[in-house]
Amino acid sequence: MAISPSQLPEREGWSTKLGVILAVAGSAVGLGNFLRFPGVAAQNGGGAFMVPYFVAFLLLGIPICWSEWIMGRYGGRRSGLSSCPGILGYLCRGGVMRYFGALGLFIPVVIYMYYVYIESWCLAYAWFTVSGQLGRAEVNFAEFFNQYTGLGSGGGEYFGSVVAAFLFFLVTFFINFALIYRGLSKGIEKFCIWAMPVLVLCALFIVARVLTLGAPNPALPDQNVNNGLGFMWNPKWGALADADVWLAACGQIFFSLSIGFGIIMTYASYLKKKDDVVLSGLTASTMNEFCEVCLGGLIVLPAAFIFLGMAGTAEAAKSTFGLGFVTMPHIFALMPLGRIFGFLFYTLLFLAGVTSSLSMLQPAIAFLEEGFNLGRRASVTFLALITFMGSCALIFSHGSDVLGTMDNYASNLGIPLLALAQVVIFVFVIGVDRGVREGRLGADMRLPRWFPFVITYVSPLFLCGILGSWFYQNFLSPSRVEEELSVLELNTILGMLGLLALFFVLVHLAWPRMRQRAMLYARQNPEEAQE
Amino acid sequence: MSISGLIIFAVANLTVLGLAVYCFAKVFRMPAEHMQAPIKIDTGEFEKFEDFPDNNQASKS
Repeated sequence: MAISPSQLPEREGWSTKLGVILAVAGSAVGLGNFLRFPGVAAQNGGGAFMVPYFVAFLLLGIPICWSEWIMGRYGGRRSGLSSCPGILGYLCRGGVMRYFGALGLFIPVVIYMYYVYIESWCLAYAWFTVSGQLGRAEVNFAEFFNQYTGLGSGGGEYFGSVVAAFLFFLVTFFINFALIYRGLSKGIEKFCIWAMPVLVLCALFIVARVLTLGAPNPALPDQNVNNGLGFMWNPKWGALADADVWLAACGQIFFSLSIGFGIIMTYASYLKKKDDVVLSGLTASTMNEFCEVCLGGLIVLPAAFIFLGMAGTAEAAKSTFGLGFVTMPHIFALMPLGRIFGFLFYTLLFLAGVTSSLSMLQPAIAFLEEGFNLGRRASVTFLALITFMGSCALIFSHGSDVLGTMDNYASNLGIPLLALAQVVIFVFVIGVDRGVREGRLGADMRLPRWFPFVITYVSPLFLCGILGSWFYQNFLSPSRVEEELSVLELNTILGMLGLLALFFVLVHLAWPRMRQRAMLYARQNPEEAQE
Repeated sequence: MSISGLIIFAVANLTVLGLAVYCFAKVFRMPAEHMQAPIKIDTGEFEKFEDFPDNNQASKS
């Protein structure tokens, strides 16, 4: 069915440049910056890990980030489309590659389903800490966490069921959708503009507290701040010869910057020809690095070392959830004024989580709006129903298998795959020269000369390495070959395949309308469509 | 913390901090401009446009 110009609604847009930067930075800054990064660094050479980490930032993170910003603005300003299938379909002239865009809807929606549940743990732990339920050293923190999330055998001293977890999930889910429903500039942008500074402020307070702890236990003078920082930062140079350390650094940079999701592409599509993408992309990525290295690297592990010593910290660093929800409550219970600092810590994690999850549904909302002419209210309601069902399946399955499987396939496999498709489209469909010219439009800083070479040859190699490592670990490594899939894992995989199939069908059905919409937009906005 | 650890700690943190300060200083120095969605103009034409790449393929087939 043809759409008339009057049916072409006014596109959403950003209010300020700082707003779009903080929204993208908020999308990138998440729980991984504060919980995953210190553990990965400590296990992969300590300070020596920073060498592959910064190399990966320069050769993988920044180039892919810029290519996604450029592609998003290029596709968005010429077609008026904002969703991943819309932009990829427009750039590839409606070819098969537009179906890759279905991944750009599937990945964030699946990640949202479990991410919002983990986010609700942070809200709950902030409440439990300030209310005193967690502020006592005699609490069995591992058992508390298992009973709260339903990962344990169920029915115990602290929680009889997952009802409390479900209630906190409902509150978190409602907060997210209330903000998403308000729209791009009035909801997401406004929230990120105040949430990001508050998050940094909370983190600075906690860093100041950790760095002034000294050696709180006079009987153990070695457990002090200096040695705690040494545990995290002392380099083990031998690690640089280990390929796994380099892959771990690539993975950390890749997942931390939120590149390859299709979210940056959607956000950048709302920009106009004269809006800068180069400085904005670099600023958003740098803010993420600041939160990760300067704040995340100074909180969790040094604090854990001071109270738990070398052996306890080394054990805790192996598990991200264990570090965040078992070790840290224990530390705050031992720390002077721990109740206040524990509350600040979980509040900062909650804010970091919300700023990330808000961005995850925007690509799918844009897709439903432009592909099926749905209003924001209808799109948000449709997605709320889908994600609510997925999250409930996760909460009431009482097992970590579901969460681990969703994360392994949607995040560890899906994101590098979509990122590789995006890089291929940037290099071979748009063309690097045209991409660089597009990047220069309205740029507040110059793209470096090495960008074309790196995005053409180096970044795809890194991505192939990450994908190869995933296939080896999942299908070829001896430990995995002997392992059998549980029923829960199998059901989760089937559920995800069903959702992916649904998105493929929706992309197929939506394309004629998106195509027509793009033609109409290009005719109405000739100045934006010019090279 | 060892001397090498201290050096890496300082270099890593100062690099990131320096880059962040440079970027935000540049962003704040730029004149404030408000982004707005493009004005909607009703041209009355919407069915077929030759400049859309997909149309050429469709007409060939």
